Amino acid sequence: MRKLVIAFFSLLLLFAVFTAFRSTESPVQEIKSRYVEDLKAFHEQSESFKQSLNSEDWDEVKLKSEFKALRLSFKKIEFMLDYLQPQDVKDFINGAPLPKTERNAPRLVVVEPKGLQRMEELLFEEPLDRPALKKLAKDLEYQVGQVQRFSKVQNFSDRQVFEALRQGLVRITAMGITGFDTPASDEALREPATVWQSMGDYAKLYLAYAEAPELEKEIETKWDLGQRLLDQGDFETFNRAEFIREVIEPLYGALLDLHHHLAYETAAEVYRGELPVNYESRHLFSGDFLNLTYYTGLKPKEEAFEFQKKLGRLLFFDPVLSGDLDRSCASCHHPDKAYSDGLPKSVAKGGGTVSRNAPGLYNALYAEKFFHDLRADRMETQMEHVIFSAQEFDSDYRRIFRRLEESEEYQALFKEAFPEQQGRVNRYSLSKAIMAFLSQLQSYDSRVDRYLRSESEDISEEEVAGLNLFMGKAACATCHFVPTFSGLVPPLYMENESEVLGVFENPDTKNLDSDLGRFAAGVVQDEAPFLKNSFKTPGLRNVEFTAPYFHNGAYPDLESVLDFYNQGGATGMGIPLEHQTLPADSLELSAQEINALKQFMLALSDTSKQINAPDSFPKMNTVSRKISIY
Amino acid sequence: MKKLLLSAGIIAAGLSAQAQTFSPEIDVTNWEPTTIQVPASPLITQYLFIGGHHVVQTTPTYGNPADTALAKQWHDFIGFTPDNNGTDLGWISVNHEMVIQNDKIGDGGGMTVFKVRRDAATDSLIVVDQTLNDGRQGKFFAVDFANTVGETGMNCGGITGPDGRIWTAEEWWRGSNADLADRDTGDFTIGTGTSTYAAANGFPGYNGETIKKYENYNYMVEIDPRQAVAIRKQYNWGRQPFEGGCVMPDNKTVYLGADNTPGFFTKFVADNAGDFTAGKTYVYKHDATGSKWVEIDNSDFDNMLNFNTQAVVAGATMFNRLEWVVEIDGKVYMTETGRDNPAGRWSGAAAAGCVYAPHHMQRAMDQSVEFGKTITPDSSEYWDYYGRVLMYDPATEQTSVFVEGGPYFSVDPAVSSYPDKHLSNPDGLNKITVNGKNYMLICEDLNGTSKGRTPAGIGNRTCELFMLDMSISNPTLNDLHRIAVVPVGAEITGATSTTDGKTILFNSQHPDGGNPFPFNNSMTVAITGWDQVTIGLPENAFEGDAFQVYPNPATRTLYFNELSDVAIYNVSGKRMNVYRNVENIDISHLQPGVYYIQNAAGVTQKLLVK
Repeated sequence: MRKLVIAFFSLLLLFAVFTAFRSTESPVQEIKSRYVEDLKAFHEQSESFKQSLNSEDWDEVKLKSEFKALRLSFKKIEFMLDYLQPQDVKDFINGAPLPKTERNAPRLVVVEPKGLQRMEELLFEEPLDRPALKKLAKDLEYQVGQVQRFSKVQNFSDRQVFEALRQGLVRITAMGITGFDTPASDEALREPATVWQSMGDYAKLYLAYAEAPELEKEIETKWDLGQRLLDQGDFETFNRAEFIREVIEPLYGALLDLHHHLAYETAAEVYRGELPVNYESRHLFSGDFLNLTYYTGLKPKEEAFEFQKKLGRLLFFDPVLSGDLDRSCASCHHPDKAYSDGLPKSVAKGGGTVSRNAPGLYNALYAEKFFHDLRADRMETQMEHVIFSAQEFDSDYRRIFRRLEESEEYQALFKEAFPEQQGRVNRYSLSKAIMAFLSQLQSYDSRVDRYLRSESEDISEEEVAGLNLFMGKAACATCHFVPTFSGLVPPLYMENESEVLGVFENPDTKNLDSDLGRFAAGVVQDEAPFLKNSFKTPGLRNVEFTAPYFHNGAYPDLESVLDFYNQGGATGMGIPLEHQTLPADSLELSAQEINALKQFMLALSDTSKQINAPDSFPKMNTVSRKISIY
Repeated sequence: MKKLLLSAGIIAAGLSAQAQTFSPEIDVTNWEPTTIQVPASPLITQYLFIGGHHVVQTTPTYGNPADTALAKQWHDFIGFTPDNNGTDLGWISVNHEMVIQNDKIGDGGGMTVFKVRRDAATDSLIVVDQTLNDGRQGKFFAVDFANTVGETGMNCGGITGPDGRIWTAEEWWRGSNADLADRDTGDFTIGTGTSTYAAANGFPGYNGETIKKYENYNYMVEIDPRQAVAIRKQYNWGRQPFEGGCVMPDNKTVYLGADNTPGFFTKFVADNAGDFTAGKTYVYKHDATGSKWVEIDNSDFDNMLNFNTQAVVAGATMFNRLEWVVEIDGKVYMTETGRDNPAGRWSGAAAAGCVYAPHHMQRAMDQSVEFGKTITPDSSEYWDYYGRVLMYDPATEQTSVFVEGGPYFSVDPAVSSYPDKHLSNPDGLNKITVNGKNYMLICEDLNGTSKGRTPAGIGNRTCELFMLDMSISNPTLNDLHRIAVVPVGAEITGATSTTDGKTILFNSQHPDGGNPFPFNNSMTVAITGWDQVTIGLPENAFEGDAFQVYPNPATRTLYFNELSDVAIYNVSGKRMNVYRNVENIDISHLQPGVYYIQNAAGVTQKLLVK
């Protein structure tokens, strides 16, 4: 009996060895040990950079080359590390070189930037501030050591490897090939090439395992093409349109297919909340790339959604929300101007203007915070500020609820749209209905999108040149991130950025606009000096229709805006502005290049989802109002 | 305690199996596997008080007449005051941890109070109508601060004292009038208010003292939940960034925690039981000779205004953000929520003579071993990612770690997983006594999503409410029972219980706007029926080695007899959920119906959820 058992066991063992050779074991253990090894290599590089900096015979040239090696060792592991430990990467390893405020602290505490990007700035500054750099190098070595320590006990599954890989594709597109985190070095494509190689090595472990020859071939071919393009590319001339269309977009879909083919669970099966990026989307440049439900809580698949949209459209255009029944949302958001109003600053109730320019509304819901000063952390609050403002709706909730409830027609519409609320008109149903209306104002079918998704060939050489400038030399895409072209930060798309640009009162003077932006928005956590004059980075889709530009509407056309950026904002034009986040260097764009940029931005237009005012409105029983089209 | 934790970690790591790929579909036709019944939960959940939705009754304020307004949001502390003389259950007081201008309620933060009755048939709570002495009628009442003691701000924690006396903590630390958004920043005279607005409730001993308006913030403030008015700012406990406190059963001794690094631990002892206007104030210094409590003379008002300075002069013991404080069986427990890298935050006070709490010195020594060099609590390397629950024993005057947050594994096992119980940054702390047994209630408020505080790839913070059986002598994280998770984006705050042990109350604070109504607002939740349920997994729930599932219907948890990967399939055999390396799972998302559950070995059982 015993012998039998032994024989059986050895058979099993043989079988196990045999199958391992045939790659029927999931690659995840192999991936995990690679990850730990790569992290160890990164830690060793950070240790050796620290030592070089501390040694007696340090020299700057050697330091710079060691720093490059250090960055490359990070880049090898970036896609896994930033997926698994995003907060550590942001706080200590490769975050933007700008001060922040401490999270969840009892008081406002300013945290100075740390990590590779800040170190790079110091390394390329003359004269070299060695003590400061030493401190940062020490911190980095320590933090990477900490992450490494935690990583050893971190277990991950195949699902997570696929999520990390696909997120890696987004990161390399939105941040890698745009030079987002390498402002001071000149080899901006060498890093994405390293990332690409490393991601490919990890991804290919699954190909041998998948037994799906066609997918295998597709992924292998595209990956190799990507490698070739990046290896041979030069930052200024790199054809990003080609790279996205021929490599990124197809691979983003193919990796999803492979994930499903291998039957691994997806995030939806392990996490019950909503996530910002819709994992099931095959494309980056499409309307379903981001998950509407995450940003809004709307449920487009539910029956009531149709009724919510219908109700929202009425509310958007109906002056019933304003105290004196004299204006509606559409008063400042005109459908034919991409829902902006064409004025520098919108007209205020009782004369004069409100303090800022009315933004367009296409894709506006895909945001973490609202208003130019980011003071509202949800759409409901955004609307509330308009409702309460004496310069705008000059009303209050209870008056609005009463009016709407007194209209039988509105009451019936609310019942239809919010059956579980029994037709109750409250802040929730009011804002959800308007959000349902706004959710239809999607703009993701521009000529650029369709070209990048390989659905059309309709794009000019000049527009392609403009795209490459936008995502390259002109550095637009390092703040207006793809695919939203807004300040919603990839690859997680959970946070809105704001910038200090140094906008003038108007382009002809050099008087700084006095609006303090976020700093003075009444948000306790934002009362930090570096947020003075800081404003939300808006989305640029349909920018063709939203002139005049900037928070003060002082720049009449795209040319004046591009000229402003080309000269490096206020600081670049010799007007010092502390904490300006826009680099002061001239972009050195030629007239031809500026025109290409403009042509590209115009090619981003898509107003096919425009919705105008309804033909008729519900009857009000107690008030009479005149409905005019703004 | 620490050793226990480490070995638990190693065991978990050792058992972790090779990941299993579950088939996306299973055939469920003509097949009758073992069936597990999950009965309906005996617990009743109610949403009692919804911010921005319920209407509160206000007093005449800023020249406006008494009126109504939509309640403020950002619910935090909850006080419970039993109705010992009436037929109702008691009054509930809710803090608003915010600062906002409000013409009717008053500027700043504030509180809302309401009264509840227990329905005799169902045990659920009913908010009752009241008429107050000032003539206000309704269900919900804004507590009047502006006309009584002056405005209040960022009302975070608080104290439920003997007989249900209620104090609210003002955490909004302000350094000058310029930091205030108040409409009136005139000098404030205790007992009379400012030149523009009266705030009449004074304080014997301090009446007539004139202070800057900002100096009238950051106190513990007593309120009367029955009449919805503030009584007094507790000037004699010092001006501190207070979070929590407790009054001992002697009705004389008060312990207080300050949310700061360094955070000081304060004690007040009243001369006469129940009268907190006269007594002595102390700060804790664990290495003092004789008593560990150093008196700070509260008859000198400057000492109270500059309490931190006095604490530093006394060389007090420093903590890393003290939060809530609760008394259980004569011992004082408090949460120290932690700060990732406190470093320079407390080095100045240390240089001036303050001392680090002993457990921070111990941690620094442990970390020195880990790093191979000397680490002190103010070294830039020193970390405190998870915080902990501390215990102070009045008999020995010593503090010690009661439950350490984490786990953080300092050993390097080959493989492990996200632990199914992870305690990060404990904040709210309270107790419930159920059928004579004491349980601690611990609320999380994550300081970040790194270092294992949330699972990888999930950037959203999820805050949880844990329950801990206080009869366990050396509790570990494994003894915690997760009893509630709040909606996405929300922090769980204010957990407390009714004195009859049937209901736990807590708040969901600042949830994401995307949650459906009412979950998009801050709100007070009541879960009733704790006297009827088993908490956790009973002993001897499993027999033998075969795959076994034990459901706890109250907490909607399935327990397994072994660590495994599991998948849940719907009634038609389509895969819905996959869990990796778990000993129990939360199934509160499963609507009543039929499901299948499969483990890593491929054993499938049928799940009948009621």
